[in-house]
Amino acid sequence: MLKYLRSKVVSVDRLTPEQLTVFGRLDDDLYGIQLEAIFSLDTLQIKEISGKWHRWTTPECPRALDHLQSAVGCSVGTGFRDHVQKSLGRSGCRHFANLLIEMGDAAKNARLMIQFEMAKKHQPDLTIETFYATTHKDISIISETTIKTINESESERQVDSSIEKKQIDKPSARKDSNNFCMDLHLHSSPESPCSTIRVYEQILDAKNVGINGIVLTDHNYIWPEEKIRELRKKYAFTVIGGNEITTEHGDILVYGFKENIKGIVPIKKLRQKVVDCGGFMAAAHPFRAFLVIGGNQLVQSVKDASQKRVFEYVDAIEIYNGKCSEKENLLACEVATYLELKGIAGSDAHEKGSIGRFTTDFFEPVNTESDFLEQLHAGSFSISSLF
Amino acid sequence: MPNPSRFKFSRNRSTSVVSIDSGTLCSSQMLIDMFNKISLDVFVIIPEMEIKDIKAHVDYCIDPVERKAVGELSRLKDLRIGPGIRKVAKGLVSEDVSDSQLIFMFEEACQGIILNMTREMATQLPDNQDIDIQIFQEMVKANPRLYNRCAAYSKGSSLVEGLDLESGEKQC
Repeated sequence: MLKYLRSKVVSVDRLTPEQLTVFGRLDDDLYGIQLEAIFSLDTLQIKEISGKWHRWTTPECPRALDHLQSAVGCSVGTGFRDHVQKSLGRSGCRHFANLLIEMGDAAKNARLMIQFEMAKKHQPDLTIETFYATTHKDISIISETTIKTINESESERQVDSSIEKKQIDKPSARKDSNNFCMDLHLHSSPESPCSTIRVYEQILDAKNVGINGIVLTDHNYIWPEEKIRELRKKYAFTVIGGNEITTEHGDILVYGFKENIKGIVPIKKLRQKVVDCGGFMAAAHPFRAFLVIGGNQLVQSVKDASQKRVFEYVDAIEIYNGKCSEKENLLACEVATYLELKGIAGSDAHEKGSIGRFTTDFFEPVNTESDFLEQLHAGSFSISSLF
Repeated sequence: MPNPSRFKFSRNRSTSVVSIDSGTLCSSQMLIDMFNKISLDVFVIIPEMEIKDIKAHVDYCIDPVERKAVGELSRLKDLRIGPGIRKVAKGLVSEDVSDSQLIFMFEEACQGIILNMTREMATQLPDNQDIDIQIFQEMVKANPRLYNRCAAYSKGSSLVEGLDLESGEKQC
């Protein structure tokens, strides 16, 4: 049975010799939008844009029209996709962004077709395939116009009746704790491109909220040991270098492992390497899902949720993540309990004001990475929250 | 308005999600334009959101990398559709294939699965012009990541008015 259908139709006309007029229409059960944009033929720069809503999901969706002009001046090429996603997609509407990116790709192809037709006048037997292979090998049809989905949701959960219900302790509010409170998950700029806060700001923020240490877990980035030592000394604060590594089974927080991994690493291979060096792995936000969705169709029992293969390769689960919803964190807690895996916590802070939302509180002070790893492996910690 | 010259570039792209059985969805992408005619099916186990199988067919394309990409789609089996799948998918296929139209179609097909879920949730809302704003406010409170994700859920919108949501803006 058909459950969902989305159609995107884009057409490109050459109304003047120097410009391409691109019409786009996106239509599905949720959204109906249309855009018209004028691109310069030589640089594929957006000169004008206008749009219209036909169908939306919230009464405030039409506000996105005000943001369309953020795309004017942007050219199809390096950075086009990112710019459209970040400006129009994030501040306006990701479906407008989706359509505009498709239109940009169509404009690029239209220009290629025009170039081909010009070349064909001089070489009548030229085929588009030959033309593309010989002249436009460098043109990647979609390379700058792919669409990053920013849709996220919240998964529902259903406790399997066959599983003994265990009491999941909510993190205790952090008040005059005698423990050594550490945020085990945060991102700094520019080491993580998605972060907007510098490492020194993270440290100052952490001190302000009264926690005792942080672990820098930038995406696939290893902090140099000397830089870590410098930060510790300068701010008289515990700073440990960690990493958040992407595998085919999701993001993994890795501690005590110094290899600079680039790209996607198979989790089995990563596990072997981390074990060999005495490191520690935790599945980061394992149930963080897409925004908006999250109806009953994604109800998953704890037992079923526990079957995720990632859990076979980790020492712990991040059971409290500052960017996850309460339900997502709760499911992570229940799965950790069910699998008898340790549970750690972190803020996943990417900006000012987020650090310390959840912390992992060690029973003994952490002064060195060895102290940290020893207590992690021993499970000598509890979890607390800022609020 | 001037009448267009004979030149015209056209493209149709469609995503359809079909329920195969109670635990499987198939998201199909079809692309047809002057350079490509490609179709792709992604079979997904629900509620795990895991990709069970992927099939693709290239009728024609001007870039031979598309045909190469067909052979690499099997690397994307068993992935879970969720945040970051684009990054993971691009990282699992070879570099010359990662920017192909077919990998983009895979991303769009995954997006179709998510939009299908969104549609199902939307059908639970009252079907009238004056939906109670509180319904949306509850949605943002339950899932603060919605805040600042689009114009409808950003400062100045009635959907977030009076809510304390200043943190939780970004995540990777």
